[in-house]
Amino acid sequence: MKNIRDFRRYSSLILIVILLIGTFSVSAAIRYPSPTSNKYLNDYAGIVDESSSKQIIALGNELERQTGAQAIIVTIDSLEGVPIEDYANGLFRKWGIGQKNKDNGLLILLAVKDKTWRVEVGRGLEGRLPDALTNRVMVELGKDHFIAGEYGLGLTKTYSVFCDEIATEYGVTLTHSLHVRLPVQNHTSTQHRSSLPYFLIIGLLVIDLLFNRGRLIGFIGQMIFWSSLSGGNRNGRGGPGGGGGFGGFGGGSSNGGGSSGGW
Amino acid sequence: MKSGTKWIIGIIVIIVIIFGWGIMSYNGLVSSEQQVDTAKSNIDTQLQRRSDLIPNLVSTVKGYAGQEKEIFTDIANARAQLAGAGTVPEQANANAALSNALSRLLLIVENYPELKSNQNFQDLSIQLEGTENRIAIARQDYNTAVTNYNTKRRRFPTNIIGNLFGFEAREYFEASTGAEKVPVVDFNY
Repeated sequence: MKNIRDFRRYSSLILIVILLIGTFSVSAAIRYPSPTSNKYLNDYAGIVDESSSKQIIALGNELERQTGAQAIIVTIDSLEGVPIEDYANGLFRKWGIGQKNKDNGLLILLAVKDKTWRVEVGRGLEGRLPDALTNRVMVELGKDHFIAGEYGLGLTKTYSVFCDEIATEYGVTLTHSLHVRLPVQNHTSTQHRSSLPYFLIIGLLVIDLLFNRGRLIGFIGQMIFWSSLSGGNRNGRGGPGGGGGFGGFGGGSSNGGGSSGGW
Repeated sequence: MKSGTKWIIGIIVIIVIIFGWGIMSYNGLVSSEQQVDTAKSNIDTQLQRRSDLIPNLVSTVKGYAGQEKEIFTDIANARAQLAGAGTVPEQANANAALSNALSRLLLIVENYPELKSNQNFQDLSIQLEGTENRIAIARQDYNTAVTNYNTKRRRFPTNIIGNLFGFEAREYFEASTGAEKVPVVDFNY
């Protein structure tokens, strides 16, 4: 009697598990790799040399620490027939490159055997990195090196330019940057970031100090204090498979900005 | 406790549960519909962006290939059709027509090497390409949102709430077959 009941219980459990697996496995159309522990450089194709690799990771890490923006390089062997625009956008969203709601991520995707690559720009950076600019950087700083087989060099140069542009947007400079300049005409640099929110925040804090004995500031301070204490345990939270020592991705998205090219 | 009071409490609890469920379903439908609207406005933004690029592109091309009159008329017509499109399918059709006309324009450009090497034209065509890609992604997002919303609206028991409050099914952003042909705009009616 008891055995039969057990059997029923387990069989229904098994059925539920099978159903769950069934519903999940249907949804995966393109199989994307998981982020590596290098975070900023995911060299699945194995084409980037040691020194370029170190440079890219140091620069990417510095950029994220200073601005919060995430610039990621992914190299793969082949797209296996998927259009690079679809693959790049899918991977960008799957990993969640850039901070959520700011969408300040950038992805350089390179498929070696297809001889094609794409720079996908999150919406938050599209103002600074319009398609025409990303294309120019790709053609003038990447393409020739790729033809010569110097993938590490081409990627480092283009990566450096993009990081510099993002840093300028945030008003900082990067010490690890190569400071590469584009050879041809400069694009018009327009900076129309409104400074209103800062004034609002500062105004609120002042009012808090004057009329509220700084309770709000104290509260915020405590929050920062506690979150910094527990922050150490959260490495690799955002990305499946863990992000090594650099922390996970931020859940950013992209609307298909950027440009594609070949060599 | 008297059985009458028990009944009253029981009925009240059931009513509260039904109301709670109703509110949740309603809000779920509203937020799905909101997602559809947001996705739709993203498409509109990108379509507008492409429309805005076209006069520039056309005037650049005209400077080198002014004799290709037919294609310019087609582009103008498709652009007018897009501007006048009211419903989503109309918009999708107009968009397909415009894409078709633009890709033919880019084919024609192959015959004009000077135009191809023109910096302004190169920048414009890259922007155009980028916008096409954005439209494709916005369209995907919109159709996903519509599927999600329509499924929710039709699924039992949410459909009761959906019918009660008049949530309408939404249309996919899909061009009908043959829509890429540009219709001749007749100004004489």
